[in-house]
Amino acid sequence: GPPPSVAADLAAAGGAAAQLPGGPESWDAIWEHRHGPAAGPGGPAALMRPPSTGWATEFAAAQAPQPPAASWAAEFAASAPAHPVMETTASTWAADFKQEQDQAAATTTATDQQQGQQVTRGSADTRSTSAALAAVLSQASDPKMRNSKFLQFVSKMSKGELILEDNKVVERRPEAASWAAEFGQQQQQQQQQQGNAGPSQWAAEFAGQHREVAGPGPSSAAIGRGGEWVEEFARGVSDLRLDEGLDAATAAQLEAAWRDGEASSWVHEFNKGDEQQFEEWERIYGHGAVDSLLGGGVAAGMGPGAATGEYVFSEQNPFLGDPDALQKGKDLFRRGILSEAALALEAEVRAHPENAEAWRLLGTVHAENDDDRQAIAAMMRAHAADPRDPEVLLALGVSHTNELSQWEAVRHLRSWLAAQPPYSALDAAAGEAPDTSQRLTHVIRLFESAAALAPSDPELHVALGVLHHLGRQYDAAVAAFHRALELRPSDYSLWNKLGATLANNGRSAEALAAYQKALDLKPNYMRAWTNMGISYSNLGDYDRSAAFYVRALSLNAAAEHVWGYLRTALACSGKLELMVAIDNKNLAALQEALPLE
Amino acid sequence: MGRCRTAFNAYSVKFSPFFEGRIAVATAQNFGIIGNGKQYVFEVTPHGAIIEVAQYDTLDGLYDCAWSEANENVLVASSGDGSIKVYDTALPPAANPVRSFKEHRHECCSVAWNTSKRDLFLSSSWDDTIKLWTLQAPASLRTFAGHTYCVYHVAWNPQQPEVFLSASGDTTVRVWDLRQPAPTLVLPAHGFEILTADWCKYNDCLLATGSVDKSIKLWDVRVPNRELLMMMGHSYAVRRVLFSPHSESLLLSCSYDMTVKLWDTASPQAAQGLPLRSWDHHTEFAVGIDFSTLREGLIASAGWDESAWVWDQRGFPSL
Repeated sequence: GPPPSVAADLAAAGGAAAQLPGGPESWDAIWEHRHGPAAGPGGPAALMRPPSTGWATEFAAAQAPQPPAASWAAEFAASAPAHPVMETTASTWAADFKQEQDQAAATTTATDQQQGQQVTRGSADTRSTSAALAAVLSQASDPKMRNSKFLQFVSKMSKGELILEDNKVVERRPEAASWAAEFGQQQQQQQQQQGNAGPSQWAAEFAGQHREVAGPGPSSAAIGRGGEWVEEFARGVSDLRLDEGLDAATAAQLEAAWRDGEASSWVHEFNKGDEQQFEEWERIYGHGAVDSLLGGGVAAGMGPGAATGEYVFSEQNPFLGDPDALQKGKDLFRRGILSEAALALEAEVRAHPENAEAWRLLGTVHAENDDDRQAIAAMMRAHAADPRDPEVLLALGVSHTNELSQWEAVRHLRSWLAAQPPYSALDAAAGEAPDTSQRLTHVIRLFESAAALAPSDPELHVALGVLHHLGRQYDAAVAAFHRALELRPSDYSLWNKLGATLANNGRSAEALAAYQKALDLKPNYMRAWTNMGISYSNLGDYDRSAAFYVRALSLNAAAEHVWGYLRTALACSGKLELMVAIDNKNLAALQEALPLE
Repeated sequence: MGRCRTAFNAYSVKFSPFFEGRIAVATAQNFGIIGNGKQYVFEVTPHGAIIEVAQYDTLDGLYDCAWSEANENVLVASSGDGSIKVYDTALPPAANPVRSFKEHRHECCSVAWNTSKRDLFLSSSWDDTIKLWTLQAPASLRTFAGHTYCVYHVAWNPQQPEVFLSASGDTTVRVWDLRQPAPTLVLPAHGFEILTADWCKYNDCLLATGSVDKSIKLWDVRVPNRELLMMMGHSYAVRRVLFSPHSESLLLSCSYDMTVKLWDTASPQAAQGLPLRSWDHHTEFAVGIDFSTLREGLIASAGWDESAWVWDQRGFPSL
């Protein structure tokens, strides 16, 4: 029979919990919902949830006899907390340092143990540990780490420019001589005096020196756990080799990191005035952040152009040097052979970088191949040649929407409007929004007034649909795309936009119907295949979802994010045996295993 | 796909077990080093917009929060001064917090509510102890001592409601049983501090651990001398690991390397350090993660970049 449910177990053990109506499902119910009831023969035996072995009871029985329950509480209350030296294989400076601190704290009237009282942490101990942490962070190869505000914060603390006091941080003016350099010299002197002073010594000694200078008092003594946050994070990021202390070179690095931090924060301040609301999107996607969330993919494998927005050319290109590359590109595109079309067009623009038409078509091809980053890169080249080309501007608006760059999307769509003679006067009259938080609403109203002027302009409705989508007004977006489709029923990309909007609004079944219309019009429309896969995933049909991803990959095997989607779908459907095929990018095997009827 | 901005550095995000779109976010000023805290409650609309529902100020930073499994409006938050605040979103802000439990002598960095015995919750602290609480009692029901260093994370076993684990800086994970006076298992899972651990929701012998040594390990409590699997994918300490409520093998992790990763522990890629997915949206340490139990696929992350993100890990369609 089926394994006993958790509820039955509990009831048997006499510990039945109160069952609250509307409360969270038990794990059994979730399991059954996901995998179907645990049937008998012919049922999905592989998905049977292993019943609880009740191992805890066995463990308990195997324990040595313990004193009766009541006495352990008394024992705990009586025992003083013990802090043995951590017997880890690599004894870090931080562990030793902690021990020093605890010994110091144990001899004071620990003010930090009184209720509600805040520990004063503006001490040399914190500075020294934060300096070491800053040194480690600033040496990180990852630019995100070097640019992080945490590093800036810690750097300032280590220089004494941020003091911890009265439950807040207080800024101090930069000291004339940098503390770090001063300390570096001091430490070298100490080491010369004492020979090889162990790595754990410098911190305590430095702290000891300053403690004498400052005199006894709560600020130096009542560190207790106060400085431990730094140790925790130091251990977290240190690669566990913080025993080098601070030499002159590291001190210089610390200075540089602080200066860099200052510079970048100035840049942020500068940007704040106009674009603050949207600047964070740029900050995320402009600093080499490798995952485009809507097109989302695995972090590895991003090309060199990813951070700068430049177009990345394929290395192998059979069309290079072909004088008919442009025409071939157009033909291939018309026939729906997108990846080949891209190569032909790349050959054309490499030979003729000023060919805006080729760049534009290349951008379109990439968008249809579900690569918005390359689409934007190509479209920007076309844009440079003709900043008023409406097709380019509209395409940029769409791609930036997919890439979550809201400000860029709005900017290009507005340029699109301004570039159209019927609407340029409207655009000029509308002016700017009163503040950046209302920019999107302002532009939507502008477009709506334009649509009132020209109800039969399909592109206007497409743009309006994209804007509504940006503002998450999905019903309005759907209405706008419907109107556009009435005017252009054979526009496959429009059907896809409608589908994506429905999908984002949770209307997955309708989304599938819209995507299918797109595919009926253009069978090799890779983006629509991918989107259908996503909708099937959202509906819980992971097998079919995977089949659609495989078809999408058959059209564009370079779509790393879709390989990621496929992995997830297969993991959710339990088809782990196909993971090897994914590893090897063995599309033939995957197609055979996951056919589409 | 949505993002909530918080005034302070976000430390923890938790989906409500009752309301599909509701999340709680615990935050602390100045990266949690010093200063105040704020507990947020947000609502994620079906359209993906995020609305603030409530905001509670605290004297000290907040490091974790947990929703009650018994009352849809109640949540607890653990603080840097060792206290645990209880909030009831059905009451006006002036009436909150409704309780403050002050027993831990140092930072309280993890709270976990029992999903079966729904009047119980646990807290763990830098004072090396774990405490068991109920809202019906004015003081802790029990204190679990044994760790010799900070206890960073506690998690209840999903199938054995008296059992929980704790992850500590003393490099051990301990398994405890409410019916026993001492840990039933001491697992020296890493050579360095263990910042996090969680139980598999569909095989209660399995647990995952995450450490300062950047690795995630999978263990079977019946075979504690050797890990089943080691996943080296993060480039800095692993701050939180969490098993999926919908799948036996899916595991979410977040790290000081600012990424959130989704792993399939059953896949051969995991042992090679290759996650299913990796998300890079945080620009500071990623320190909190959660799965939605009510909406499969929905996950959330909290980071020191003053933000909590909510998104569907299965992907988003493109226009």
